[in-house]
Amino acid sequence: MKRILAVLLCLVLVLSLVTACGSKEETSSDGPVTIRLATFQVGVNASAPWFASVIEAFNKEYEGKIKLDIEEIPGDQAYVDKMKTYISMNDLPDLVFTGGYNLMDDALSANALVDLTPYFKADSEFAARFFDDDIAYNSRDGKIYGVPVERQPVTYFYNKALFEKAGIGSPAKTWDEFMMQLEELKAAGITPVSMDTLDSAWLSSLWLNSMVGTLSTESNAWMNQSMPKDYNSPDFIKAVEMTQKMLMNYTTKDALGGKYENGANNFLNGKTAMIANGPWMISDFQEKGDDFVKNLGTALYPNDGIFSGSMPGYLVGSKDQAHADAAVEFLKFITNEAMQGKMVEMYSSIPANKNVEISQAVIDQNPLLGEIVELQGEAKIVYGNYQSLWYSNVVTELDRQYPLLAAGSITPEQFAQALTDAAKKN
Amino acid sequence: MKNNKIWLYLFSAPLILFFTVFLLAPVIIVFGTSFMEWKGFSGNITFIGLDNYIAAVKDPEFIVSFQHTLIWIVLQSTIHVIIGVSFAIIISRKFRGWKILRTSFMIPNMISASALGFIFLMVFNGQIGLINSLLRKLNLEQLAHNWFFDPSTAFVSVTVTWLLFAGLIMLLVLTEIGTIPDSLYEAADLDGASQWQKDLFITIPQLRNVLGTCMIIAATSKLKEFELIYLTTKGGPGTGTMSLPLYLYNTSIVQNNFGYSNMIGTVLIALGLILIFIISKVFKIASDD
Repeated sequence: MKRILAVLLCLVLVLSLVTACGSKEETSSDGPVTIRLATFQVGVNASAPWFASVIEAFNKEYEGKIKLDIEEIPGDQAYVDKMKTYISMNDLPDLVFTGGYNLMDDALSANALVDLTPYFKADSEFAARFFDDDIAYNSRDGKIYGVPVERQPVTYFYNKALFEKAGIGSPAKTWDEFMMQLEELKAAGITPVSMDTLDSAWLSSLWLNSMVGTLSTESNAWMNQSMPKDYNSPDFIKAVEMTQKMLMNYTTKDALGGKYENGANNFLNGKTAMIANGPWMISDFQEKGDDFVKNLGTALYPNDGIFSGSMPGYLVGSKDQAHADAAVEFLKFITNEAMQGKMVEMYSSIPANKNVEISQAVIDQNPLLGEIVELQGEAKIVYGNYQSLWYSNVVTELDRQYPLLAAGSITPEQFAQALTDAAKKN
Repeated sequence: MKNNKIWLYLFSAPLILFFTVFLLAPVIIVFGTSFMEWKGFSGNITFIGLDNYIAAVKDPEFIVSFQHTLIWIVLQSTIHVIIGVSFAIIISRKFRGWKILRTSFMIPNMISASALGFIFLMVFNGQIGLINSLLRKLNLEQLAHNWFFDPSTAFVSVTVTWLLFAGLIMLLVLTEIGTIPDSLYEAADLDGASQWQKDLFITIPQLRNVLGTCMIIAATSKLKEFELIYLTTKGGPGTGTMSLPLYLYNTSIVQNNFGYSNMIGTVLIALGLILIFIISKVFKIASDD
């Protein structure tokens, strides 16, 4: 009896091991189609409340037809790394929110994306929602692989009271004037600008990108190209030199080793006079109260520059037609007029759906958003941002090079060379 | 006897299967693909012989990562072990409050790496950090700076996040001290030996096996140290705190250069085996004499 029990125990152990390795398969064929959606629009992300409201509305409308299995991954970098792991495992979720990061090329090289062109051709109303440049931004070789959800024209915000205290009448028109204003603010006892050096240094990089994008026609073309490999141009080095000057002389001490949150808090608490960022930050300003918002202005970067509104959108990684169809249904839902209108109201983002007009009532309530829309039309120079255009290992390299640049341990030339070396590893 | 062998194989089967599927097979794949060019997600894999290994010798980032990893292994298997052993010998005297001390010393080992990383980010913070606050209180403001991101202090600051916390070593050694026969100490007492002499000539020699084990644990822990570096400096500033595990992560997840990262993985496995071999030989682990 004991022997029989022992043999059974061994068999159970071996079998449990084998069955544990078995693949998970969907058995239901009649029930709702379950699609996986990965996003970082959760937690403290400014868009989280709007996204939650979209999910709630979608679940209500598609109950019994489509079920969303949402994978929440807070933190941009953790999210991007996870998606790249999924790509390598050939296990990309049905819906991937790229949120400005270029995941498309990696996913395409793994043949992991659904060509969405047929869906656009089959539904003219859906296709007509988007701007041509946004669709071009989300296409490769004439095929559409991404669906834009929002536009992100990035300007910079300034504190009018602090500008006034330093005797500055209006935002700078040229980079020379801008550097003089930094000095004037500093002389008035004000820390001029919020910057950071970690998590790819979003705040600092926006200034750097704007300098490169507006210094010359050549450097603007460079700033608009995808996956550049050589950062050693004189304009890039000049831009790094100015950025280093800003990091060493015109920002808070916590910029060295600091993340976006440090810089944002400094601006929100009136400790710095300027911050480069997109319209989504307006909701943070509003939380500080009406007086704080009234005291803010927004401006084009010197030389009349602005970041392009186009950004990478949602990707579809479904493995079969049914899941792809369901994923596209979600994309049609999230880009419909109602959801896009809600996005403007809830987190001050500019809709990708061109049929959604930002009403005067919304602008009256949110004048900063109105200013950004106006500035978009006034800008003379447009350029892309590094997170969606540069190799992801170059973006990661910034984390290691910015602290050295801020500490004065490397020269602008060495900074440019380090990025070039990183880019060449691809 | 033959019957017993069948039982032995039967009961070992699940473990052997588990080991083969989840450990041996991946290690063989890692080793095999370290000789391949395997970049990106296209699935194109080409045999390139030793090219990845030759490239590593010329790669300054690999070399500096290797050097840092070696330095951390040496520090961990010496200073860290010495701290743990010394503490174990001290509290083995079971003076009043020894249990509180033992538990306190274990706390850092019970906290998750993410929490520990966050704690140290606060301790070494340039503005509100504990260290800088203390320096300001002591009128040493000029020494206050950002410890993790100043190139001159980044390496030391990261090392401090694990070097001093030898709770596991202390626990292992303390357990071993408990197994040393009292008769040895009684004989030493009769000979008039001092406490120091007893520690030096009875306790420490009796700990040979566990000391070797502790050194293996300490040394190999640095072959997989990732979280605390990633959470604090991410290997920066520059390559100031880059290690082989972190470089492996960067080459695979960030650069998608899987062949090269598997070469780093193979180097790490080889380094681990060499360390275990050397330490086992030096300490004659599991030998009779």
